[in-house]
Amino acid sequence: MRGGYLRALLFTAVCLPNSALALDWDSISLNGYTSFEFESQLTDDGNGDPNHSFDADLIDLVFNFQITDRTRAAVDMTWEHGAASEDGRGNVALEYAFVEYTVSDLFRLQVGKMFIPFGVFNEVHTAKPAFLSVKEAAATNKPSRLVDGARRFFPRWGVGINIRGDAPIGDSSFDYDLMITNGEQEETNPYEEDNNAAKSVTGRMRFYLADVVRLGVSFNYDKPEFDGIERQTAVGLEVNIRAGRAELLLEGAYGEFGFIKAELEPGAEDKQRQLGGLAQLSYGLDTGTTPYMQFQTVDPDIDVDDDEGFAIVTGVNQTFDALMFKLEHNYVVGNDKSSLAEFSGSRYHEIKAAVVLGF
Amino acid sequence: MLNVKENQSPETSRLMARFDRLYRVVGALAFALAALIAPQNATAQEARAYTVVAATTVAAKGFDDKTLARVMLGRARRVAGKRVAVVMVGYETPAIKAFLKEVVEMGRRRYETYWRKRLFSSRGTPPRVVNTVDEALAIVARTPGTIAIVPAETPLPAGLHAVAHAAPVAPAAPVTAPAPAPVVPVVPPAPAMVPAPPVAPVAPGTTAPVPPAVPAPTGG
Repeated sequence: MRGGYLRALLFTAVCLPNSALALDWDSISLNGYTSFEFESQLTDDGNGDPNHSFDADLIDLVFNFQITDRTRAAVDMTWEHGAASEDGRGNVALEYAFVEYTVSDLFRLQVGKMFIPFGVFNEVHTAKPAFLSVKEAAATNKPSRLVDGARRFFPRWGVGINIRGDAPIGDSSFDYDLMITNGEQEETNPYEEDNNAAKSVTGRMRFYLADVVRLGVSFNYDKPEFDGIERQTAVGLEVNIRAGRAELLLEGAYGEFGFIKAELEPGAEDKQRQLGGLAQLSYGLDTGTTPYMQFQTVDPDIDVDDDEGFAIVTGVNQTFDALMFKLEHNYVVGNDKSSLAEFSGSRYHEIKAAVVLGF
Repeated sequence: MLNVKENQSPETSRLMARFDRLYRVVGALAFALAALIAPQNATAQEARAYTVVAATTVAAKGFDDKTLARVMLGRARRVAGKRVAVVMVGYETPAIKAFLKEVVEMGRRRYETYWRKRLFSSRGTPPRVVNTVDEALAIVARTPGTIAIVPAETPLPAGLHAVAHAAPVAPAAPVTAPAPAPVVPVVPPAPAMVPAPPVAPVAPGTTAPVPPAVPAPTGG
Protein backbone atom coordinates (compact mmCIF):
# COMPACT_ATOMS: atom_id res chain seq x y z
CA MET A 1 0.00 0.00 0.00
CA ARG A 2 2.78 2.35 0.99
CA GLY A 3 4.60 1.42 -2.21
CA GLY A 4 1.49 2.36 -4.17
CA TYR A 5 1.46 5.84 -2.63
CA LEU A 6 5.15 6.22 -3.34
CA ARG A 7 4.70 5.22 -6.96
CA ALA A 8 1.78 7.62 -7.32
CA LEU A 9 3.83 10.41 -5.79
CA LEU A 10 6.78 9.72 -8.07
CA PHE A 11 4.48 9.53 -11.07
CA THR A 12 2.96 12.89 -10.16
CA ALA A 13 6.36 14.46 -9.58
CA VAL A 14 7.58 13.27 -12.94
CA CYS A 15 4.46 14.18 -14.87
CA LEU A 16 3.62 17.59 -13.48
CA PRO A 17 6.65 19.52 -14.69
CA ASN A 18 6.16 18.07 -18.14
CA SER A 19 2.51 18.98 -18.36
CA ALA A 20 1.63 20.57 -21.67
CA LEU A 21 0.08 23.52 -19.81
CA ALA A 22 2.85 24.08 -17.29
CA LEU A 23 3.62 27.78 -17.10
CA ASP A 24 6.98 29.45 -17.04
CA TRP A 25 7.47 32.72 -15.17
CA ASP A 26 7.20 34.75 -18.36
CA SER A 27 3.54 33.72 -18.48
CA ILE A 28 2.71 34.71 -14.92
CA SER A 29 2.47 38.16 -13.44
CA LEU A 30 1.96 39.05 -9.81
CA ASN A 31 0.74 42.50 -8.84
CA GLY A 32 -1.07 43.94 -5.90
CA TYR A 33 -1.55 46.78 -3.48
CA THR A 34 -1.82 47.59 0.18
CA SER A 35 -3.53 50.41 2.01
CA PHE A 36 -3.09 51.66 5.54
CA GLU A 37 -5.67 54.25 6.59
CA PHE A 38 -6.53 56.69 9.32
CA GLU A 39 -9.92 58.27 9.98
CA SER A 40 -10.83 60.94 12.49
CA GLN A 41 -14.20 62.61 12.90
CA LEU A 42 -13.76 66.21 13.93
CA THR A 43 -17.27 66.84 15.19
CA ASP A 44 -18.96 65.36 18.25
CA ASP A 45 -21.51 63.38 16.31
CA GLY A 46 -21.68 61.94 12.83
CA ASN A 47 -21.19 58.74 10.85
CA GLY A 48 -17.41 59.07 10.94
CA ASP A 49 -14.83 57.64 13.32
CA PRO A 50 -14.76 59.58 16.64
CA ASN A 51 -11.90 57.41 17.99
CA HIS A 52 -9.26 58.47 15.44
CA SER A 53 -8.63 54.89 14.33
CA PHE A 54 -5.93 53.26 12.26
CA ASP A 55 -7.06 50.68 9.74
CA ALA A 56 -4.98 47.96 8.12
CA ASP A 57 -7.37 48.36 5.25
CA LEU A 58 -6.15 45.63 2.97
CA ILE A 59 -3.50 43.74 1.13
CA ASP A 60 -4.57 42.51 -2.25
CA LEU A 61 -2.76 40.19 -4.65
CA VAL A 62 -3.55 40.02 -8.35
CA PHE A 63 -2.38 37.06 -10.43
CA ASN A 64 -2.54 36.81 -14.19
CA PHE A 65 -1.74 33.51 -15.89
CA GLN A 66 -1.35 33.47 -19.65
CA ILE A 67 -2.16 29.80 -20.08
CA THR A 68 -2.06 29.68 -23.87
CA ASP A 69 -2.01 32.14 -26.72
CA ARG A 70 -5.73 32.83 -26.24
CA THR A 71 -6.48 31.76 -22.69
CA ARG A 72 -5.85 33.81 -19.56
CA ALA A 73 -6.78 33.18 -15.95
CA ALA A 74 -7.02 36.14 -13.58
CA VAL A 75 -7.30 35.93 -9.80
CA ASP A 76 -7.60 38.70 -7.22
CA MET A 77 -7.45 37.82 -3.53
CA THR A 78 -7.79 40.26 -0.69
CA TRP A 79 -7.22 40.28 3.05
CA GLU A 80 -8.99 43.22 4.66
CA HIS A 81 -8.75 44.82 8.08
CA GLY A 82 -6.09 42.48 9.43
CA ALA A 83 -8.06 39.36 8.63
CA ALA A 84 -7.87 36.75 11.39
CA SER A 85 -10.45 34.01 10.92
CA GLU A 86 -9.85 32.49 14.35
CA ASP A 87 -11.06 35.70 15.95
CA GLY A 88 -13.71 36.40 13.37
CA ARG A 89 -11.97 39.64 12.40
CA GLY A 90 -11.61 41.28 9.05
CA ASN A 91 -12.50 39.85 5.70
CA VAL A 92 -10.89 37.46 3.27
CA ALA A 93 -12.37 37.51 -0.20
CA LEU A 94 -11.89 36.34 -3.71
CA GLU A 95 -12.53 39.58 -5.55
CA TYR A 96 -12.49 37.88 -8.90
CA ALA A 97 -11.37 34.64 -10.44
CA PHE A 98 -12.18 34.05 -14.05
CA VAL A 99 -10.95 32.42 -17.21
CA GLU A 100 -10.82 34.49 -20.37
CA TYR A 101 -10.74 33.16 -23.90
CA THR A 102 -9.83 35.67 -26.60
CA VAL A 103 -11.43 35.13 -29.98
CA SER A 104 -10.35 38.57 -31.11
CA ASP A 105 -9.76 41.96 -29.49
CA LEU A 106 -13.42 42.68 -30.14
CA PHE A 107 -14.66 39.45 -28.58
CA ARG A 108 -13.32 38.00 -25.36
CA LEU A 109 -15.30 35.49 -23.37
CA GLN A 110 -14.95 35.37 -19.58
CA VAL A 111 -16.46 32.90 -17.13
CA GLY A 112 -16.17 32.90 -13.35
CA LYS A 113 -16.58 35.40 -10.55
CA MET A 114 -16.12 38.97 -11.74
CA PHE A 115 -16.68 42.56 -10.73
CA ILE A 116 -19.92 43.95 -12.10
CA PRO A 117 -18.80 46.31 -14.91
CA PHE A 118 -20.90 49.31 -13.95
CA GLY A 119 -19.67 52.89 -13.86
CA VAL A 120 -16.23 54.19 -12.93
CA PHE A 121 -15.36 52.75 -9.55
CA ASN A 122 -16.83 49.32 -8.94
CA GLU A 123 -14.07 47.35 -10.65
CA VAL A 124 -11.41 49.26 -8.72
CA HIS A 125 -13.32 49.91 -5.51
CA THR A 126 -10.66 48.18 -3.40
CA ALA A 127 -7.73 49.26 -5.58
CA LYS A 128 -6.64 52.36 -3.74
CA PRO A 129 -3.76 53.09 -6.15
CA ALA A 130 -6.29 53.42 -8.96
CA PHE A 131 -8.16 56.51 -7.72
CA LEU A 132 -7.36 59.74 -5.96
CA SER A 133 -9.55 59.74 -2.87
CA VAL A 134 -9.23 57.55 0.23
CA LYS A 135 -12.53 55.78 -0.45
CA GLU A 136 -14.30 55.16 -3.73
CA ALA A 137 -17.14 57.57 -4.47
CA ALA A 138 -19.95 56.61 -2.08
CA ALA A 139 -22.68 58.39 -4.01
CA THR A 140 -22.61 55.97 -6.92
CA ASN A 141 -21.07 52.89 -5.29
CA LYS A 142 -22.14 52.65 -1.67
CA PRO A 143 -24.77 55.36 -1.21
CA SER A 144 -25.81 54.09 2.21
CA ARG A 145 -22.41 55.27 3.45
CA LEU A 146 -23.61 58.80 2.77
CA VAL A 147 -27.24 58.65 3.81
CA ASP A 148 -29.45 55.96 5.32
CA GLY A 149 -32.24 54.51 3.25
CA ALA A 150 -30.19 54.48 0.08
CA ARG A 151 -29.54 51.19 -1.69
CA ARG A 152 -26.75 49.95 -3.86
CA PHE A 153 -27.50 50.62 -7.49
CA PHE A 154 -25.92 47.31 -8.52
CA PRO A 155 -24.18 44.36 -6.86
CA ARG A 156 -20.40 44.38 -6.41
CA TRP A 157 -19.75 40.97 -7.94
CA GLY A 158 -21.41 38.37 -10.08
CA VAL A 159 -20.80 34.81 -11.16
CA GLY A 160 -21.59 34.08 -14.74
CA ILE A 161 -20.48 34.88 -18.26
CA ASN A 162 -19.10 38.12 -19.62
CA ILE A 163 -18.33 39.20 -23.17
CA ARG A 164 -15.83 42.01 -23.44
CA GLY A 165 -14.06 43.76 -26.28
CA ASP A 166 -12.13 46.76 -27.56
CA ALA A 167 -12.06 48.25 -31.04
CA PRO A 168 -10.80 51.40 -32.78
CA ILE A 169 -13.00 53.88 -34.61
CA GLY A 170 -10.69 56.17 -36.52
CA ASP A 171 -8.63 58.06 -33.96
CA SER A 172 -11.08 57.08 -31.23
CA SER A 173 -12.02 53.74 -29.75
CA PHE A 174 -14.60 51.99 -27.65
CA ASP A 175 -14.87 49.06 -25.29
CA TYR A 176 -17.83 47.14 -24.00
CA ASP A 177 -18.92 44.53 -21.46
CA LEU A 178 -22.04 42.43 -21.54
CA MET A 179 -22.51 40.16 -18.54
CA ILE A 180 -25.09 37.67 -17.35
CA THR A 181 -24.86 36.49 -13.75
CA ASN A 182 -26.83 34.90 -10.95
CA GLY A 183 -27.65 38.27 -9.43
CA GLU A 184 -27.47 39.38 -5.84
CA GLN A 185 -29.27 37.70 -2.94
CA GLU A 186 -28.53 36.31 0.48
CA GLU A 187 -30.83 33.31 0.63
CA THR A 188 -28.12 31.13 -0.88
CA ASN A 189 -24.56 31.74 -2.00
CA PRO A 190 -25.06 33.67 -5.26
CA TYR A 191 -21.61 32.59 -6.37
CA GLU A 192 -22.75 28.99 -6.22
CA GLU A 193 -26.45 29.00 -7.08
CA ASP A 194 -29.27 31.38 -7.86
CA ASN A 195 -32.38 31.79 -5.75
CA ASN A 196 -34.58 32.11 -8.81
CA ALA A 197 -34.57 31.41 -12.52
CA ALA A 198 -34.16 35.04 -13.50
CA LYS A 199 -30.67 36.27 -14.27
CA SER A 200 -28.97 39.59 -13.75
CA VAL A 201 -27.82 41.41 -16.89
CA THR A 202 -25.18 44.14 -16.88
CA GLY A 203 -23.73 46.10 -19.74
CA ARG A 204 -21.36 48.98 -20.23
CA MET A 205 -20.04 50.80 -23.27
CA ARG A 206 -17.33 53.43 -23.22
CA PHE A 207 -16.12 55.66 -26.01
CA TYR A 208 -12.65 57.18 -25.93
CA LEU A 209 -12.58 60.27 -28.09
CA ALA A 210 -8.93 60.85 -28.98
CA ASP A 211 -8.04 59.88 -25.39
CA VAL A 212 -9.17 63.30 -24.20
CA VAL A 213 -12.82 62.61 -23.55
CA ARG A 214 -14.33 59.39 -22.28
CA LEU A 215 -18.07 58.83 -22.41
CA GLY A 216 -19.68 55.80 -20.87
CA VAL A 217 -23.09 54.34 -20.21
CA SER A 218 -23.88 51.37 -17.96
CA PHE A 219 -26.98 49.41 -17.04
CA ASN A 220 -27.91 46.63 -14.67
CA TYR A 221 -31.14 44.70 -14.41
CA ASP A 222 -32.04 42.01 -11.93
CA LYS A 223 -34.98 40.27 -10.31
CA PRO A 224 -33.52 39.49 -6.91
CA GLU A 225 -36.84 38.51 -5.24
CA PHE A 226 -35.02 39.17 -2.02
CA ASP A 227 -35.11 41.75 0.76
CA GLY A 228 -38.54 42.89 -0.39
CA ILE A 229 -37.28 43.78 -3.88
CA GLU A 230 -38.85 42.08 -6.85
CA ARG A 231 -36.80 43.77 -9.55
CA GLN A 232 -34.24 46.52 -9.82
CA THR A 233 -32.89 48.54 -12.68
CA ALA A 234 -29.93 50.90 -12.72
CA VAL A 235 -28.55 53.16 -15.41
CA GLY A 236 -25.26 55.02 -15.13
CA LEU A 237 -23.56 57.73 -17.12
CA GLU A 238 -19.92 58.77 -16.95
CA VAL A 239 -17.95 61.57 -18.57
CA ASN A 240 -14.23 62.10 -18.17
CA ILE A 241 -12.60 65.15 -19.73
CA ARG A 242 -8.87 65.82 -19.72
CA ALA A 243 -7.55 69.28 -20.51
CA GLY A 244 -3.81 69.45 -20.01
CA ARG A 245 -3.15 68.73 -16.36
CA ALA A 246 -6.76 69.21 -15.32
CA GLU A 247 -9.26 66.39 -15.29
CA LEU A 248 -13.00 66.47 -14.75
CA LEU A 249 -14.91 63.33 -13.89
CA LEU A 250 -18.69 63.29 -13.83
CA GLU A 251 -20.71 60.24 -12.90
CA GLY A 252 -24.41 59.76 -12.34
CA ALA A 253 -26.55 56.75 -11.51
CA TYR A 254 -30.29 56.25 -11.47
CA GLY A 255 -31.86 53.26 -9.78
CA GLU A 256 -35.41 51.98 -9.61
CA PHE A 257 -36.34 49.31 -7.08
CA GLY A 258 -39.72 47.57 -7.44
CA PHE A 259 -40.95 45.99 -4.24
CA ILE A 260 -42.67 42.65 -3.88
CA LYS A 261 -46.30 43.75 -3.66
CA ALA A 262 -47.38 40.89 -1.40
CA GLU A 263 -44.90 42.05 1.23
CA LEU A 264 -45.92 45.71 1.12
CA GLU A 265 -47.86 47.33 3.91
CA PRO A 266 -51.15 48.88 2.82
CA GLY A 267 -50.66 52.27 1.18
CA ALA A 268 -46.91 51.86 0.81
CA GLU A 269 -45.21 52.88 -2.41
CA ASP A 270 -44.46 49.92 -4.63
CA LYS A 271 -41.17 51.32 -5.85
CA GLN A 272 -38.26 53.50 -4.86
CA ARG A 273 -36.41 55.71 -7.30
CA GLN A 274 -32.91 56.76 -6.33
CA LEU A 275 -30.34 59.13 -7.76
CA GLY A 276 -26.61 59.48 -7.10
CA GLY A 277 -24.06 61.82 -8.56
CA LEU A 278 -20.38 62.65 -8.42
CA ALA A 279 -18.31 65.53 -9.82
CA GLN A 280 -14.55 65.40 -9.32
CA LEU A 281 -12.02 67.99 -10.44
CA SER A 282 -8.30 67.32 -10.15
CA TYR A 283 -5.07 68.89 -11.31
CA GLY A 284 -1.92 66.78 -11.65
CA LEU A 285 1.46 68.43 -11.13
CA ASP A 286 4.83 67.16 -12.30
CA THR A 287 5.86 66.74 -8.68
CA GLY A 288 3.36 63.89 -8.34
CA THR A 289 1.02 66.11 -6.36
CA THR A 290 -2.63 66.01 -7.36
CA PRO A 291 -5.09 68.19 -5.48
CA TYR A 292 -8.69 67.14 -5.97
CA MET A 293 -12.19 68.12 -4.99
CA GLN A 294 -15.30 65.98 -5.10
CA PHE A 295 -18.94 66.85 -4.82
CA GLN A 296 -21.26 63.93 -4.16
CA THR A 297 -24.99 63.75 -3.72
CA VAL A 298 -27.49 60.99 -3.05
CA ASP A 299 -31.23 61.30 -3.27
CA PRO A 300 -32.43 57.99 -1.78
CA ASP A 301 -36.03 58.53 -2.84
CA ILE A 302 -36.83 60.97 -5.60
CA ASP A 303 -40.47 61.01 -4.53
CA VAL A 304 -39.60 62.23 -1.02
CA ASP A 305 -38.50 65.82 -0.59
CA ASP A 306 -35.55 66.98 1.52
CA ASP A 307 -34.04 63.54 2.12
CA GLU A 308 -30.84 64.16 0.16
CA GLY A 309 -27.33 63.80 1.51
CA PHE A 310 -24.24 65.59 0.20
CA ALA A 311 -20.49 65.28 0.62
CA ILE A 312 -17.72 67.66 -0.30
CA VAL A 313 -14.31 66.01 -0.28
CA THR A 314 -11.22 68.17 -0.57
CA GLY A 315 -7.87 66.45 -0.64
CA VAL A 316 -4.41 66.03 -1.99
CA ASN A 317 -2.80 62.94 -3.43
CA GLN A 318 0.99 62.70 -3.46
CA THR A 319 3.02 59.99 -5.11
CA PHE A 320 6.53 59.23 -3.99
CA ASP A 321 8.42 56.33 -5.51
CA ALA A 322 5.95 53.43 -5.45
CA LEU A 323 3.98 54.96 -2.60
CA MET A 324 0.90 57.12 -2.66
CA PHE A 325 -0.15 59.37 0.19
CA LYS A 326 -3.70 60.66 0.49
CA LEU A 327 -5.03 63.28 2.85
CA GLU A 328 -8.54 64.65 2.63
CA HIS A 329 -11.29 66.44 4.47
CA ASN A 330 -14.84 65.15 4.20
CA TYR A 331 -17.74 67.48 4.85
CA VAL A 332 -21.01 65.57 4.93
CA VAL A 333 -24.33 67.37 5.20
CA GLY A 334 -27.95 66.40 4.73
CA ASN A 335 -31.34 67.96 4.26
CA ASP A 336 -33.95 68.07 7.00
CA LYS A 337 -35.57 64.71 6.22
CA SER A 338 -32.31 62.85 5.62
CA SER A 339 -30.76 60.54 8.18
CA LEU A 340 -28.05 63.17 8.65
CA ALA A 341 -30.59 65.46 10.30
CA GLU A 342 -30.01 63.62 13.59
CA PHE A 343 -26.57 65.20 13.85
CA SER A 344 -25.91 68.69 15.06
CA GLY A 345 -26.50 71.03 12.16
CA SER A 346 -27.28 67.97 9.96
CA ARG A 347 -23.60 67.75 9.22
CA TYR A 348 -20.25 66.37 10.31
CA HIS A 349 -16.57 66.72 9.39
CA GLU A 350 -14.00 63.98 9.06
CA ILE A 351 -10.32 63.74 8.17
CA LYS A 352 -9.13 60.69 6.22
CA ALA A 353 -5.61 59.70 5.29
CA ALA A 354 -4.01 56.71 3.61
CA VAL A 355 -0.62 55.31 2.71
CA VAL A 356 -0.97 53.14 -0.36
CA LEU A 357 1.52 50.91 -2.11
CA GLY A 358 0.93 49.59 -5.60
CA PHE A 359 3.13 47.05 -7.34
CA MET B 1 16.65 81.25 -68.28
CA LEU B 2 14.42 83.65 -70.21
CA ASN B 3 15.26 84.50 -73.80
CA VAL B 4 15.44 88.13 -74.75
CA LYS B 5 14.58 88.33 -78.43
CA GLU B 6 16.08 90.95 -80.72
CA ASN B 7 12.74 92.38 -81.84
CA GLN B 8 11.71 93.24 -78.27
CA SER B 9 11.70 96.88 -77.25
CA PRO B 10 14.47 98.07 -74.89
CA GLU B 11 11.84 98.56 -72.19
CA THR B 12 10.65 94.99 -72.52
CA SER B 13 14.21 93.74 -72.61
CA ARG B 14 15.09 95.53 -69.37
CA LEU B 15 11.94 94.19 -67.73
CA MET B 16 12.73 90.69 -68.87
CA ALA B 17 16.30 91.00 -67.65
CA ARG B 18 15.12 92.09 -64.22
CA PHE B 19 12.66 89.22 -64.15
CA ASP B 20 15.48 86.89 -65.09
CA ARG B 21 17.60 88.11 -62.16
CA LEU B 22 14.64 87.79 -59.81
CA TYR B 23 14.04 84.28 -61.10
CA ARG B 24 17.63 83.34 -60.36
CA VAL B 25 17.51 84.82 -56.86
CA VAL B 26 14.24 83.07 -56.04
CA GLY B 27 15.63 79.84 -57.42
CA ALA B 28 18.76 80.16 -55.33
CA LEU B 29 16.74 80.91 -52.23
CA ALA B 30 14.48 77.95 -52.86
CA PHE B 31 17.52 75.70 -53.29
CA ALA B 32 19.06 77.03 -50.10
CA LEU B 33 15.80 76.51 -48.25
CA ALA B 34 15.51 72.99 -49.55
CA ALA B 35 19.09 72.34 -48.53
CA LEU B 36 18.29 73.53 -45.04
CA ILE B 37 15.10 71.53 -44.71
CA ALA B 38 16.27 68.26 -46.22
CA PRO B 39 18.96 67.47 -43.64
CA GLN B 40 16.52 68.33 -40.87
CA ASN B 41 14.07 65.75 -42.18
CA ALA B 42 16.80 63.20 -42.38
CA THR B 43 17.87 64.03 -38.84
CA ALA B 44 14.31 63.71 -37.62
CA GLN B 45 14.13 60.21 -39.05
CA GLU B 46 17.46 59.21 -37.60
CA ALA B 47 16.51 60.73 -34.27
CA ARG B 48 14.11 57.91 -33.52
CA ALA B 49 15.55 56.77 -30.23
CA TYR B 50 13.81 53.42 -30.21
CA THR B 51 13.10 50.40 -32.28
CA VAL B 52 10.56 47.64 -31.93
CA VAL B 53 11.98 44.15 -32.21
CA ALA B 54 10.54 40.66 -32.30
CA ALA B 55 11.60 37.16 -33.15
CA THR B 56 12.02 36.58 -36.88
CA THR B 57 9.04 34.24 -36.65
CA VAL B 58 6.94 37.37 -36.17
CA ALA B 59 6.26 39.07 -39.48
CA ALA B 60 7.24 42.73 -39.67
CA LYS B 61 3.81 43.84 -40.75
CA GLY B 62 0.90 45.45 -38.98
CA PHE B 63 3.06 47.30 -36.46
CA ASP B 64 2.17 50.82 -37.48
CA ASP B 65 2.16 53.52 -34.81
CA LYS B 66 -1.58 53.44 -34.29
CA THR B 67 -1.55 49.69 -33.70
CA LEU B 68 1.53 49.93 -31.49
CA ALA B 69 -0.23 52.54 -29.38
CA ARG B 70 -3.25 50.28 -28.96
CA VAL B 71 -0.99 47.38 -28.03
CA MET B 72 0.82 49.53 -25.47
CA LEU B 73 -2.54 50.53 -24.00
CA GLY B 74 -3.76 46.94 -23.86
CA ARG B 75 -6.64 47.71 -26.20
CA ALA B 76 -5.17 45.43 -28.84
CA ARG B 77 -3.61 42.16 -27.81
CA ARG B 78 -3.43 40.67 -31.27
CA VAL B 79 -1.62 41.95 -34.34
CA ALA B 80 -2.17 40.30 -37.70
CA GLY B 81 -4.18 37.64 -35.88
CA LYS B 82 -1.44 36.68 -33.43
CA ARG B 83 -1.11 37.49 -29.74
CA VAL B 84 1.43 40.15 -28.87
CA ALA B 85 2.96 40.88 -25.49
CA VAL B 86 5.32 43.77 -24.80
CA VAL B 87 8.53 43.99 -22.83
CA MET B 88 10.54 47.16 -22.46
CA VAL B 89 13.42 48.65 -20.53
CA GLY B 90 12.76 51.09 -17.72
CA TYR B 91 10.56 54.13 -18.03
CA GLU B 92 13.50 56.47 -17.47
CA THR B 93 15.34 55.19 -20.52
CA PRO B 94 15.38 57.93 -23.19
CA ALA B 95 14.18 55.44 -25.80
CA ILE B 96 11.12 54.52 -23.76
CA LYS B 97 10.40 58.14 -22.89
CA ALA B 98 10.51 58.99 -26.58
CA PHE B 99 8.40 55.99 -27.55
CA LEU B 100 5.69 56.82 -25.02
CA LYS B 101 5.66 60.44 -26.12
CA GLU B 102 5.76 59.92 -29.87
CA VAL B 103 3.81 56.71 -30.34
CA VAL B 104 1.56 56.32 -27.30
CA GLU B 105 1.28 60.11 -26.86
CA MET B 106 1.41 59.89 -23.08
CA GLY B 107 3.90 60.84 -20.41
CA ARG B 108 5.10 58.29 -17.92
CA ARG B 109 2.80 59.45 -15.14
CA ARG B 110 -0.34 59.32 -17.23
CA TYR B 111 0.65 55.99 -18.74
CA GLU B 112 1.17 54.44 -15.31
CA THR B 113 -2.10 55.86 -14.04
CA TYR B 114 -3.89 54.46 -17.07
CA TRP B 115 -2.46 50.99 -16.50
CA ARG B 116 -3.15 50.91 -12.77
CA LYS B 117 -6.85 51.34 -13.46
CA ARG B 118 -6.76 48.78 -16.23
CA LEU B 119 -4.65 46.23 -14.37
CA PHE B 120 -6.62 46.32 -11.15
CA SER B 121 -9.96 46.15 -12.97
CA SER B 122 -8.90 42.84 -14.55
CA ARG B 123 -8.49 44.22 -18.06
CA GLY B 124 -5.02 42.77 -18.63
CA THR B 125 -1.45 43.42 -17.64
CA PRO B 126 0.86 46.30 -18.56
CA PRO B 127 4.02 45.84 -20.62
CA ARG B 128 6.65 43.98 -18.68
CA VAL B 129 9.46 46.26 -17.55
CA VAL B 130 12.98 44.84 -17.28
CA ASN B 131 16.28 46.36 -16.23
CA THR B 132 18.47 45.76 -19.25
CA VAL B 133 18.14 45.56 -23.00
CA ASP B 134 19.67 42.10 -22.98
CA GLU B 135 17.02 40.90 -20.59
CA ALA B 136 14.36 42.26 -22.94
CA LEU B 137 15.97 40.61 -25.95
CA ALA B 138 16.28 37.31 -24.11
CA ILE B 139 12.56 37.36 -23.31
CA VAL B 140 11.70 38.15 -26.92
CA ALA B 141 13.92 35.32 -28.11
CA ARG B 142 12.35 32.71 -25.84
CA THR B 143 8.73 33.91 -25.78
CA PRO B 144 6.82 33.68 -29.05
CA GLY B 145 4.77 36.75 -29.87
CA THR B 146 6.67 39.10 -27.58
CA ILE B 147 7.91 42.42 -28.91
CA ALA B 148 10.44 44.64 -27.18
CA ILE B 149 10.85 48.38 -27.22
CA VAL B 150 14.60 48.97 -27.06
CA PRO B 151 17.02 51.80 -27.86
CA ALA B 152 17.58 52.21 -31.58
CA GLU B 153 21.28 51.49 -31.39
CA THR B 154 20.73 48.05 -29.89
CA PRO B 155 22.59 45.32 -31.77
CA LEU B 156 20.20 42.47 -32.42
CA PRO B 157 21.23 38.87 -31.98
CA ALA B 158 20.43 36.34 -34.67
CA GLY B 159 16.82 35.30 -34.64
CA LEU B 160 15.50 38.80 -33.86
CA HIS B 161 14.58 41.60 -36.22
CA ALA B 162 13.04 45.01 -36.14
CA VAL B 163 9.31 45.02 -36.86
CA ALA B 164 8.86 48.79 -36.58
CA HIS B 165 10.99 51.91 -36.47
CA ALA B 166 14.08 50.20 -37.81
CA ALA B 167 16.49 52.99 -38.64
CA PRO B 168 17.82 52.83 -42.20
CA VAL B 169 21.16 51.10 -42.45
CA ALA B 170 23.77 53.13 -44.34
CA PRO B 171 25.28 50.90 -47.02
CA ALA B 172 28.85 52.08 -46.54
CA ALA B 173 28.96 51.66 -42.82
CA PRO B 174 30.90 48.54 -41.91
CA VAL B 175 30.32 46.65 -38.73
CA THR B 176 33.47 47.60 -36.86
CA ALA B 177 32.44 46.19 -33.55
CA PRO B 178 33.64 42.62 -33.07
CA ALA B 179 30.75 40.87 -31.49
CA PRO B 180 31.08 37.59 -29.68
CA ALA B 181 27.68 36.39 -30.81
CA PRO B 182 26.18 36.79 -34.28
CA VAL B 183 24.96 40.35 -34.25
CA VAL B 184 23.00 42.34 -36.80
CA PRO B 185 23.12 46.06 -36.15
CA VAL B 186 19.85 47.90 -36.44
CA VAL B 187 21.66 51.10 -37.30
CA PRO B 188 25.22 51.67 -38.42
CA PRO B 189 27.45 52.02 -35.42
CA ALA B 190 28.08 55.60 -34.50
CA PRO B 191 31.64 56.70 -33.83
CA ALA B 192 31.01 56.59 -30.10
CA MET B 193 29.50 53.15 -30.26
CA VAL B 194 31.63 50.52 -28.65
CA PRO B 195 31.65 46.84 -29.46
CA ALA B 196 28.63 45.16 -27.97
CA PRO B 197 29.45 42.66 -25.27
CA PRO B 198 27.39 39.49 -25.24
CA VAL B 199 25.28 40.75 -22.36
CA ALA B 200 25.53 44.46 -22.94
CA PRO B 201 23.80 46.80 -20.53
CA VAL B 202 21.89 49.74 -21.89
CA ALA B 203 24.27 52.34 -23.26
CA PRO B 204 25.48 54.97 -20.79
CA GLY B 205 22.81 57.52 -20.28
CA THR B 206 20.11 55.04 -21.12
CA THR B 207 20.55 52.75 -18.16
CA ALA B 208 17.30 52.62 -16.32
CA PRO B 209 17.01 52.56 -12.58
CA VAL B 210 15.36 49.40 -11.34
CA PRO B 211 11.73 50.14 -12.02
CA PRO B 212 8.77 48.43 -10.48
CA ALA B 213 7.53 45.59 -12.66
CA VAL B 214 4.23 47.40 -12.73
CA PRO B 215 3.59 51.11 -12.93
CA ALA B 216 4.15 52.84 -9.65
CA PRO B 217 1.18 54.69 -8.23
CA THR B 218 0.62 58.22 -9.23
CA GLY B 219 -2.29 60.55 -8.97
CA GLY B 220 -5.13 58.53 -10.29
